[in-house]
Amino acid sequence: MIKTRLLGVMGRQQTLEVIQEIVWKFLSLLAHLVLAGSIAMLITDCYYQHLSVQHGLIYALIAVLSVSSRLIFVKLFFDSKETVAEDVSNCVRNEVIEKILRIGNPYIYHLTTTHVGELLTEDCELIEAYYSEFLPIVGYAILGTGTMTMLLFAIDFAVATVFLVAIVIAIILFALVRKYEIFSYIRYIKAILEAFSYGVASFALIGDIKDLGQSHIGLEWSMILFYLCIEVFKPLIAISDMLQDGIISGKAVDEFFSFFDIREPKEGKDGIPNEPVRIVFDKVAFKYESENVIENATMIIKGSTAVGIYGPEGAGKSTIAGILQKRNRNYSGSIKINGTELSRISQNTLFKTLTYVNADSYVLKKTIEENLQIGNPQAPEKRIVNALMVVGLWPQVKEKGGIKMTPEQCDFTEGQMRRLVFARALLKNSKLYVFDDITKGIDDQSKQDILKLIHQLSKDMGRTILLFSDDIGCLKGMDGIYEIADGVVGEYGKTKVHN
Amino acid sequence: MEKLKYIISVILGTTKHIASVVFAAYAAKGISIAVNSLGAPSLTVELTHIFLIIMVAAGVRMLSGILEAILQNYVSENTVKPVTIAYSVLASALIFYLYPVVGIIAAIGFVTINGILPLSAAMNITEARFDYLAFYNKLTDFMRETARSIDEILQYNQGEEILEEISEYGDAQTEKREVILEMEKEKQLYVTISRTAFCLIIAVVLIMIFNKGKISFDRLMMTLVASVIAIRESVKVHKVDI
Repeated sequence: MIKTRLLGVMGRQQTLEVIQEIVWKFLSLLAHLVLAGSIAMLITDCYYQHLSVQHGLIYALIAVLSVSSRLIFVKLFFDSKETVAEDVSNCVRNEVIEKILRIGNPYIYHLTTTHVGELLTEDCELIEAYYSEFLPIVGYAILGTGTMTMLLFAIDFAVATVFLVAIVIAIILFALVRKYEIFSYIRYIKAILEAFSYGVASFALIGDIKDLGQSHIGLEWSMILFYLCIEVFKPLIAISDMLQDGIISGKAVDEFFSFFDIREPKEGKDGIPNEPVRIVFDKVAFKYESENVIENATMIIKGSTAVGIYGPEGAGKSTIAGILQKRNRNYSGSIKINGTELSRISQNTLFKTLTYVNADSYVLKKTIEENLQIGNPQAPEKRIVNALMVVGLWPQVKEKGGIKMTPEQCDFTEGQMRRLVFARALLKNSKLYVFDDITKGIDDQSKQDILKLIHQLSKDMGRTILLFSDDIGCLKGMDGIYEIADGVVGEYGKTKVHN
Repeated sequence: MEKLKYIISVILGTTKHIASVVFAAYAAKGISIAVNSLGAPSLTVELTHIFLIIMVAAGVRMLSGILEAILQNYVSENTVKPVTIAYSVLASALIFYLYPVVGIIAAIGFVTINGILPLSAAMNITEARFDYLAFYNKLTDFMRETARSIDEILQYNQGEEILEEISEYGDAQTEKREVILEMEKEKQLYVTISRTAFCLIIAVVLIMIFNKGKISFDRLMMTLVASVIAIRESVKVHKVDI
């Protein structure tokens, strides 16, 4: 029930805060017990007419001290809870993002973006609740129930033994609820616990009253025994109130750790020589779940050329694009970028040279300026406007209010969204561009504009272009075209499809 | 049928808490009678009656609690408000019957703990909760947007910027939540103060009356314990105890 590993991840300081939360709550209970005990003694003194001014003052002092300390402990408890909640949220979100950055592109094989969203929102809140609410309640329940049971043992061994058995049964019931997730039974357990405390208390009281009548126990102790009997289950009832949330949030903690345990790929340390990018694929093969997706890909892409890769849907175009951007890492054969083996280049280094754009490239729900600044955070307004002019979006953006507007406010069509993504890629100004089905599903005008820009990018700016498409018409005018068929890559027109 | 289940649930909820007060009052009476008859060779008839009442009260408490838990599976509406009102009226009447002055003090206590404090806290906290909710929706949108743009974050090396933004959102969330937690803390402190203050006032008043010889010891015990347990149960009804 207690995820101790979480304490380790959160660090020593945060663990101390959780312990403090438990301690303040426990001390608040102790202050309450002291007050109850002093009232019992005050009544006893009154009954035996021993209440002197001095005694009265001592009781008043104890009452004032226990009440004021209880108030202080309540305040401190909330202060700790506040700090713990704050630390947990920030820590979990940072860990998730840092982990994804370390895993890199292959993260997609372990979790979807929806799953990442859940980890950053609902799961994060649940982990926070587990850490700042459920864990302290469990700690408090152990300490509180243990202390009150020990006090009961000191007063009446038989009664304490019955309660101890009941506590063990309650813990077993909690464990069963957790194992079989029978949440509807929690309220019954709570009702049974409360019922049991009154049932045992009534028998304990009858015995207590008999003992009192025979002078086996003092008046003050009989009152304290009575009070403990009805209070001893209070911390366990507090757990039952939170058990369902605790179990659900515990699952979020497990989810977090299963994500946290994903093995991070080893990154290479070689750089890419700063020159027009040439790529050599030599007998590259790639298997996905033991199925050969790419069997033999041999290609030479010269620097500053635009090369098309044609193939029907599902032929393996995106697999090759995935290999190039290090999403698909376990390829065999060799891929050299400017002479450096791809596997020896880190993803960060690769993405300084390569820009990948596909039909699913995401446009953020932010302003056009913010969207474009992702491509180049230092880009001044003039450059952003220039990029928009190049892709033919500026007139519309200007008319709708400028770059501080969102794409939605500018009423962009799907084709215009694709052009915006293109403008973002242009601002990055990388040496290699990989376009995967970028013209898919957009209007003819946008398609023609984008293809024209791709050619300009290669001819006028000396960039190396790889354009993947299932429409051979889109690849007209390319410096070379390769074709994928049955996982084999060859020059277009020379593969077995055309023989 | 739904209404009948609701009414039965309210009755069971009220009975559960009132039975606790009756149980405590007669337990106290039993203790005081026992201490008065120290050295008595056997149980008196009065004590036997008290044992019977204690057993019945405990039985009613147990049964009504379990039945209420079962019935709540079939009742969709929340029963806290009607149970609080019914319980406060009945508990005040019971304590008034035991000792009128203490009954009046307890009634003021119930109005404070079950009425004034929750209402004033609700008024203050509602606005803060709406404010937090609005912010939380914004934060969720940002996090989901971050998740959807993971590929772009990786490709355009935006990791550090995103971590910075997340940290800013985290700080803003803490600020907003602090307002709510502060209010909850205040509410808890006021409940703790009121609960303890009313218990202490009742104890002091009863002890003063007892020292003047105007009340018997068993009546003192019954009234005091019934009042303390009644206030304890009242806090449990609201689930505001820590």
